[in-house]
Amino acid sequence: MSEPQELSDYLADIAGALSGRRSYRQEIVAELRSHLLDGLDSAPAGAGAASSVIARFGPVEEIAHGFNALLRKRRLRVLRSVLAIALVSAAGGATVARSLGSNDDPRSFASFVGDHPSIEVIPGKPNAVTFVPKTHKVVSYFKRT
Amino acid sequence: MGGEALKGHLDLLLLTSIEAGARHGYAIAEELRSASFGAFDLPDGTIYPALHRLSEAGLLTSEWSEGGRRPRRLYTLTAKGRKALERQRTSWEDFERGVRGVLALRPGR
Repeated sequence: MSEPQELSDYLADIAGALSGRRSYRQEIVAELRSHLLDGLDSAPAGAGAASSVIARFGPVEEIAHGFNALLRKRRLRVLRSVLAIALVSAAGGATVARSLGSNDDPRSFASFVGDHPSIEVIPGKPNAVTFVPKTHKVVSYFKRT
Repeated sequence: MGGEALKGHLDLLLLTSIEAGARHGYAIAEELRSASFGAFDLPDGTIYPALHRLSEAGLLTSEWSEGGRRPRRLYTLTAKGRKALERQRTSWEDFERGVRGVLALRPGR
């Protein structure tokens, strides 16, 4: 069955109202198209079939709003994760800087790195360290003490 | 049942519909409509954001099936989804029992 123009227009309206990447929007529209065509197959044949399937499916704004709200929540979750990692890294870096700032002795440096499982020496830079946020290492550190 | 009232229970209804096996959105919408004798008549399109939300929460997985007349995205319950369904079902049954108990207070019964 070919797709009625009314249905194509409706799907184009939904696509236009969706946020997010093109591939994400295309996949949603493909899923919705499949539903609408199934509905059309089951609807009594006639001039108003596409209209009744569309009416049953719902307003463009309501459907797009549902997906867009989901996308906003996902973006917020990602932003929170990035901020959390940045804060943990900054806190780790501050601890390193505070501890190293009090003593330039290379032996103390090595001892400091050895005592902190979340800190690793940067390869090729023996006097520089990076903070590696690995929760399980921190937990095991607390268990030892 | 009005759309707003139904939306509060939509997760439970969707998870229940998928519990028996993989379903696509159209089949789920039809099942909700027929099993509720037409009482649950949400716009079909509104179940899709909910299905995607449940998938993102790890309660469902989905994959495209090429069989049949056209490609369809099939949803399946995960182990996490099954546990969530059990919790929601128990919660709903407790709520229903409570409401029935209060409604039984009707004079003349």
